[in-house]
Amino acid sequence: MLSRTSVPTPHAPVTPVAPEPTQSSVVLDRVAARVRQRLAAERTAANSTGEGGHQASLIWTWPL
Amino acid sequence: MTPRENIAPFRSFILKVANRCNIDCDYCYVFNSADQAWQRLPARMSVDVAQAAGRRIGEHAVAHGLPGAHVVLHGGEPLLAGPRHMADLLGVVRESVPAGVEVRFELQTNGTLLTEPWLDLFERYEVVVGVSLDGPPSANDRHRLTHASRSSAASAVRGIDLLRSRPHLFAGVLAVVDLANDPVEVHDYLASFEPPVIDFGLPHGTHDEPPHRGDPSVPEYGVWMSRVYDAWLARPEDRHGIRMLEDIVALSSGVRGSVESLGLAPPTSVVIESDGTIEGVDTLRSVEEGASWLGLDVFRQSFDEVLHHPKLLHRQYGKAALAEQCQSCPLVEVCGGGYLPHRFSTARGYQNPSVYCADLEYLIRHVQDSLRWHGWDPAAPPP
Repeated sequence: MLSRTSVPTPHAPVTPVAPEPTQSSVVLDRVAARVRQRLAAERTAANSTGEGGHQASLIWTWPL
Repeated sequence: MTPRENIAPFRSFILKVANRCNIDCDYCYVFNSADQAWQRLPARMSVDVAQAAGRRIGEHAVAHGLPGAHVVLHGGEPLLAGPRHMADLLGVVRESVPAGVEVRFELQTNGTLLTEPWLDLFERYEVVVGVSLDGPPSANDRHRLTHASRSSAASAVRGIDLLRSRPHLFAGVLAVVDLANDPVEVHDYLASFEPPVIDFGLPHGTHDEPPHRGDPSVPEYGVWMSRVYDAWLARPEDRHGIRMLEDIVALSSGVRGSVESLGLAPPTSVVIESDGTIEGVDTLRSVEEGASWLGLDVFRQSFDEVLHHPKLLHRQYGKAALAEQCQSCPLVEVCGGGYLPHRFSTARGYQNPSVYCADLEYLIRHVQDSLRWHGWDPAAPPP
């Protein structure tokens, strides 16, 4: 099977390239808000030693 | 190695309500992998098993002071249980859990059998539904064919469209990565259904049977997912989250992950088979015959006994359970050594880095570089 993943230069060290910052911060702002919510839930949870669920489950199990 | 003092209780209970499937995905860890346990398991879970599971869930939640439990209806294809039987299963689980414990139901399906009566049932029991789809039909058809080798894409899309008519029931879409598919095309296609969440799974592989790669010297899966990340950031009009990528952001910021495949905190899910037997990580079936077998069941053992099973105690060891090179890796808090099945080799058991180690490293660094680019210190809580 041919790979559709284009890579810069095979056999050379692969250096991640950051995306252009145009508009994309809107998405990261939403991510930051959700991560803050997770942090708040984690801090108020009765039992803070566990983490998330099964890989084939999509909903977030916190706060429980 | 000694486990943490406070063993984390289970929060997610995966009920295998049907152990057959109406399609035949070639990568399926239940039907097409090393372990063929499904052949001796009942085609669907009985009401007696569901009742015993519900009682055990309630007992566990009360013992650990948990206000709720997350119950995932899974398979095989769970809709093969049929709506009447599923209603009985949902009812008996809810009745068997004490009133003070909130049960949140979720169901993961291939979508092909969804109908209005199913959605009515899900309304009644507040079941949210995730659908498995790998991308546009050409991508989905690489692996997700019917038993007659026909495409399942149109039926799955019809199911998703029906589900979208009741968006509060739509949990999201799960896709398995195939390098032959274009990552941006896959992302944009899945995003077009406006799911709240998309998640990508890496195909199961071990050191004995590594995943397919075009060029083993390149972290192709990491590159593929980093292109998904870039596409996601470039589409501010879409509002979905991408769980694997958000978890990398969260874990990089010192916040706990949400799924067993990343991070170091102990996983808190457990699997109940259609005959009532209990498994820790069912995806270990992709590793070898019997790898997920614990010899426990909901009729004879409590979930507290399951927590202390020797095969599951590694969950409590954190970093100490990992291969030496993982323990000293600067990214270990984020990748957690990778998903357990992906670390396996016959020679060293699970004491290996993930078969996706280079891919995870590439992707994590890509995300962290992007966060820095946007003025976010990945080592600090989110701005």
